[in-house]
Amino acid sequence: MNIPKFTKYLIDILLAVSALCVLAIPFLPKGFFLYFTANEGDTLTLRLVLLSSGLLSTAILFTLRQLYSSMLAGDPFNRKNPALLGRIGILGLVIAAIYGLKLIFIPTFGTMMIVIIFIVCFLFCFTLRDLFARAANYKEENELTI
Amino acid sequence: MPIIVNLDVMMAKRKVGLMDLAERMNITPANLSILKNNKAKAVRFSTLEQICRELNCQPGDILEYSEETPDFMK
Repeated sequence: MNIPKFTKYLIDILLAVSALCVLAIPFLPKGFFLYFTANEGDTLTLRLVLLSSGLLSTAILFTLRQLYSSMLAGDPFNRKNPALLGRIGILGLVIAAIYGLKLIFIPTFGTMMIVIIFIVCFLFCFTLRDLFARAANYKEENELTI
Repeated sequence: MPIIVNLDVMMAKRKVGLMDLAERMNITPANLSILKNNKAKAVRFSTLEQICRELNCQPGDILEYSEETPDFMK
């Protein structure tokens, strides 16, 4: 099994599923939200949270796809990839902020976990961003050493 | 960059073309061009040795130090 190609297909599938889920959010029945809140009427807030975080997650997957494509093309340590990783980190931080806000109005343990996970995602992506920027520098220096 | 590579000057003095020199040195013309156009970040001693041998010159004929022009004077 070709693992890199399998990963690429997985990212593509997740991106498509994510986009479909985001499109479906406005049409979800009220009963769906009973899993998240005891208040039957309070679906607008949850729809907004899911829609915004869903859009941002789709953007994360799209950026990840670009990142992975550059790796498959044989040029992972280029100048563009640190910026893409930074973008993923920022998107993750915004998702954490959205769920942090949700935590204030609809506090649940699951929401707290989501906030923590996306903060860790932000830190991880920014660390990788700096690592890839340094690697791109080393690669350029190596290529420009005659 | 403070270090200037005067390879093109020496090549003109010795009447040696880029392709010819690259072939003699067994490096690609693209790499030699990077060096000639001051785009290189570093030069190996082995490369410098080859250049000096092929062009019958000294390292000082190829490399020159010049203080960087301050930004306000550019």
